[in-house]
Amino acid sequence: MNRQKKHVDALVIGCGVAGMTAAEIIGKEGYSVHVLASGYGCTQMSSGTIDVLGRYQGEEVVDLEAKLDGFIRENPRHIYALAGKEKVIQALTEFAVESASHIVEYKGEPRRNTRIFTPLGTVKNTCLVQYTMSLNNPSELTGKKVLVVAIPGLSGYAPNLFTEGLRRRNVKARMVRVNVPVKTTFQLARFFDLEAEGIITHLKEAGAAGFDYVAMPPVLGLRRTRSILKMLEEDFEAHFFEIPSFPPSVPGQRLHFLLEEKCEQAGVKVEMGKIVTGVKIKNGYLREVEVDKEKITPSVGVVATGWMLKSILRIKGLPFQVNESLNVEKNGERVENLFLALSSVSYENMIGLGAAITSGYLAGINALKYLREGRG
Amino acid sequence: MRVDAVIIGGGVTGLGIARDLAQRGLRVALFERRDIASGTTGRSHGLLHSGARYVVRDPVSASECAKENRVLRRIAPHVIEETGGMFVAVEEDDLDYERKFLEGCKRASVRVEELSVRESRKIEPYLNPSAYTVFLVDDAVVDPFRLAIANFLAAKEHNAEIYTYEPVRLIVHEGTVVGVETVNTKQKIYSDVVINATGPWADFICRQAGLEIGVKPNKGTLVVTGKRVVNTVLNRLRPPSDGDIIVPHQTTMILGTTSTYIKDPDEVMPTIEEVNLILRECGKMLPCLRELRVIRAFSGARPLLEGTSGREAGRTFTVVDHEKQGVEGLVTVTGGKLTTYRLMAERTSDLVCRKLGVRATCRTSKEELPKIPVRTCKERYEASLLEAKWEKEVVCECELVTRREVEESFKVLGAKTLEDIKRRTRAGMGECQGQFCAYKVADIMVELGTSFHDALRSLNEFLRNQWKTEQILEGTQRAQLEFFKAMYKLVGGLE
Repeated sequence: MNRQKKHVDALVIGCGVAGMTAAEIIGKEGYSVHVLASGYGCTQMSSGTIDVLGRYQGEEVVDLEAKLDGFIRENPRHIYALAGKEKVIQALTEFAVESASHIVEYKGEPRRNTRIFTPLGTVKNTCLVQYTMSLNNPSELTGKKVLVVAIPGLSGYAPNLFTEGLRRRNVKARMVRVNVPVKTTFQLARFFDLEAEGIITHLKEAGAAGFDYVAMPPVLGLRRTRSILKMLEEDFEAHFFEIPSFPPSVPGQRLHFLLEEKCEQAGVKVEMGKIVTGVKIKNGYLREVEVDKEKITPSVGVVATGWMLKSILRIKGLPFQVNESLNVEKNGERVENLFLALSSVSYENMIGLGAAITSGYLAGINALKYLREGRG
Repeated sequence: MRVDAVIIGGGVTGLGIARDLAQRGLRVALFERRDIASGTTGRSHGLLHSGARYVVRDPVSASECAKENRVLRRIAPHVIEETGGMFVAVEEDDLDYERKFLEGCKRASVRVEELSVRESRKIEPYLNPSAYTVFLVDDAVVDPFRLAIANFLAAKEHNAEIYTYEPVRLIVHEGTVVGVETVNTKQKIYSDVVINATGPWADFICRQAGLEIGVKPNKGTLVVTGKRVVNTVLNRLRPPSDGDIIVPHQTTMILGTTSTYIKDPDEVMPTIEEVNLILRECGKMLPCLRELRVIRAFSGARPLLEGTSGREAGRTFTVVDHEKQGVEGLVTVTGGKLTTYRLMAERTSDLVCRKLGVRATCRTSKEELPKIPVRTCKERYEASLLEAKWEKEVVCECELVTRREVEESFKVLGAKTLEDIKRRTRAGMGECQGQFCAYKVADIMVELGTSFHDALRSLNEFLRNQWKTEQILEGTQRAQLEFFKAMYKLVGGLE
């Protein structure tokens, strides 16, 4: 059966932070964009915090902009170097500014790092955090009375370690156990979305009043976070903030929702459960992508499959290579309309989603440039 | 401090001696430089030998194993799983060995029964269909950690004092060993006799008294799979060699082993070559191994005595009274097998009692070992089905370890670190290798009074040790390990 071939301006493979960022950038300029992903993406496997460069040459990074210069000089093949410092900061700034009008707002200054308490009570440098976590830092909390809410059996954070970590920084922290019959932060966040009042009663019974600040695991709703936070702060006359958690995390899920919302607004179509089964590259151009027997002919393609890139490369009829500048090549010849949004985590330098946003941004603007110049 | 006997080494042998002597009414103190069962004991495959493996080359060890196998089933049923064992010949194996094997079993009184391949495939459906001879023997599986803990509890019941993370040195006075001194706190403990039960480290202690016993540390590597697909111990029907044992262990299988002489028993790391060899060889008995996830590989050091090569060397043990070499007050026990630990302890205790003029008989083969306040996986699965409130207390979800078990391990089983919890509860031995429960255990440590700094240090050490597996992982599993590193280093801010 000869099926109709479908045309799109841009086809993005992968719905993680990089793929969704690229798709949104292309889509909001009016081009038709289709995102295909085999699964749900790994965004919820992050803590939802945007780590750009937390440590450099063994030292904590505060002045991000200055340290980025040095890092780029020393790592000319890193995604930050390929993008250039200005584009890194531009990508982060746009991300933060646009988030304000969406489901979850990010706080922070793209040129400077901020410090937050981790789920283990240690302190780390990061760049942008969700507004629910912006109070979770040593300079804000030192000398203050903080109540740490521990929920027995809840996975994802270590309330005793967290409380001790605060105390070590001269925070007057106390821990209280609140018995809520849940095991995961996701269950509890859904609970909050559905009936926050019920949980507030539990908190009150546990004695969560009379404190300047209340530290919660990141469970203040998946969708209704703003109103839940408001309700809590009014009821307890205290500032509430969230402690980051280990994956899978609710803030990570909120980040996915944020990207989904932005894509939807930009007219991007996102489809999950789709597996690319074949790709045609001819005379240096990506011509056709086969997905579940459906054939798509995109003007430009973006591959943003993260660590699964290897399995994508094994697809039959996809004999392309990737060069040092992340350009795609076939038999040594550049494939003009295929872009990679690829980056990796570094523990040594505490680089996380900052690299993912940058790589998506860079692939997006490169694809846009290609579309505008009307080639292919 | 003054005691009748000081024991150096907290493996099953040392703990077995502590139990034995304490039961006989002696005042004993045991010193272990790390945790109990953290050396050779904890790195064994936990096969409770029927003796069949050694009938051809080492009949003395074979009959020792056969006897002790029966004793242990009687005194420690709660740390043993009655699996039975099979000896399996596959195509390339020598037919002549079968004859020698049967003769040997008869000579050493090791019970053996032939089974048709069809019958054996009914018991173990994953067994290689082209296997041509199968014998059933009385192998069983013993959990070395639980065995050590049971002996620890038994020794404590009889007022033995057990100190972990307490390395000691001999105090030698005019050619006589008069006690030990702790390395960290410089405490002196005087005793009539010091028992060196440090297995492959025996010469390290002997040298402090100018002696040499000639133990040759021999490295054996083992591979752990995340799933258990056999309920019987599988042995190759051939002279003992590399990669010929498969031992089902709680939720996993342990495959082994290799044999290489090494200089330092502390330097034992598995290599990728060893892992591949074991998988290839064991795969001849169990072809589906190819499809299973390898979650860990580890190596231990056997204390072998004189012999030509690792496989030729005897698996029997020796108890030496160094008085004969002119040094009084020191007894060394080394060699042997996990299976014969109790017999080693009995013989050593007999010697010590003779030296001290104590007339008391050994009761360790008659009295049952105490119950342990930590469950096996099987018991946990049963409990999870029966107990309503059970679920929310789970700390390690791979092995269903409960918070109470972790707390008990800290409070009554002498655990001090995350590694110790792993040995006592299996939290960290399952599919995720402790990545999703390590921080929870560290959190409980803080709750029970450990400082923030010490808990994080213990967490760091535990993770570093777990991540050593890196060198044997490939593909997706490697990516998963990277994910876990990101989890602790990037999200948790650990350096």
